[in-house]
This record gives sequence, C-alpha cells and structure tokens, in this order.
Amino acid sequence: MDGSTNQATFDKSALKLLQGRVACKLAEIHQMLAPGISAPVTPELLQAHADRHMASLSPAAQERLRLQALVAFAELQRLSAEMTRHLDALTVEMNKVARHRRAAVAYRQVAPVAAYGAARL
Amino acid sequence: MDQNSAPISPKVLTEFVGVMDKLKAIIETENEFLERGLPATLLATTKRKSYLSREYGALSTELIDQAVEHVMADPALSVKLVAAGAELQAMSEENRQLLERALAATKRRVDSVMDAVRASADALPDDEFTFPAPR
Repeated sequence: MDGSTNQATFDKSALKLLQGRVACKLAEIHQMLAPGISAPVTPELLQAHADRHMASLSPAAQERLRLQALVAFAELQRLSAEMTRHLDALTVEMNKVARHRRAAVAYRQVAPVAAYGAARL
Repeated sequence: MDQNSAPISPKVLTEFVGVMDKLKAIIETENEFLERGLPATLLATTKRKSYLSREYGALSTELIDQAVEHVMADPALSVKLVAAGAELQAMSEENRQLLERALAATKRRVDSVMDAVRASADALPDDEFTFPAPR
C-alpha cells in the first residue's frame, strides 16, 4: 500500500495483525537497545539502559547495532503508517454506520405513515 | 512528545513529530468520546484524522529516506521516537477496541430500528392493503 492514498477498506483482522506487528517491532527495538529490559519503561529508563549497553560494546559491535536499529526503526515506521491508515478506515466505517442509524431512525418515524398512505392509494 | 526536548534538525523530523503529536491528540479525543458512548461525535474529527494519517504515512516514508541516519546517530532522539511510537501504538490499540465495540452496538441499533419498522408495517390491518374491486 502506498502512502498517497488513505482509502484502505476496513479489515478488522488486518488492523489487529498490524497492531500486533508494531508491538512486536517495538519490543524488538527495546531488546536491541536495552537487552533484558522489558517494555513498558519510561524513555529515561530506556535511555539509561541503552547508554550502558552501548558503552559495553566494541566500536564494531556498536556500528552493527546501530545498523540493525536503523533497519528495525524504518520497519517500525512503515508498519505504524500502515496501522494508522487502517485505523482511519475503521473510523470511516464507524461514521458510515452512524449515518445508517440516523437514516433508520428517521425512516422509522415516517415509515408507518408512508405505509398507511400507500395502502390508501 | 515534547518537540523542544530533542535536538531535531532536519525539517522532516520536526514535521513528523508534530503530525505524530496531533494524531495522538485526535485519537485520545476519540477514545474519550467513545468511552462516554458518543460515537456520532467522531464525524467532527474524521476528516482531520484522515488527513493526519495520510501525512503521517508520507512523513514516515520521508523520515526513512532522509533522516533515519540522523535519528539513529542521536540515541536520545531515537529512544524518544520509539517511546512516542509505543504510545501511539497503545492509543491506537485502545481506539480500535473502542471503535469495534461502538460499531457492533450501532449496527445492533440499526437492526432493532429496522425490525421495529417491519413490525409496525406488519401490524397494519390487512384490509388497508386490499385494493378496491374494479367497477
């Protein structure tokens, strides 16, 4: 799905799956930055552990980790963007059903009269 | 995420963080309305949410293309963005659950209204539906 359109049709399972994948990617990044620290943690705590972990690595390992984190972060952004598009489609679906409800209520008010009038014709 | 808390230099980063904040704010508002049982009020925010979702998608792509190295070179910034991403994920998860619940409830209401319409049509006397005999 490209970023130029927001017309994703609402797919309940796709959205749920995407949210799960975003959560997994976040957990993966957490483990990458601060192994052994499980989410959710405050940014300050995560930062402190990430600094300590980075300082314990050799320069080559630091560079490797940096590249891994870069790829994981890019993937996280891609998944998050897709997730928000699906979430938006769900909101649009909700509004459509809310409009149907209003139309149904309005129809209910006039329907008996219309039915009676039609029967009289 | 506080935009003043990190040394953000590329324009795309500033815009990305700004859009992410606005999107989180709108989802938070929606969640409050949905928790209060007011799904119809979402009509007011839908267009804005659609616009921000599109912007978020476009800026995510730009961020990956132009500024991801900058983000990763700044550990404090990357941690803040990951934390903000986690917050957005948690809020969107809540948003989905609330929207799905509201959607199911609203669909049930539509069905019950239509059932009532059918029931009142059925309750009309049969002779009201009898056409007069031709003369």
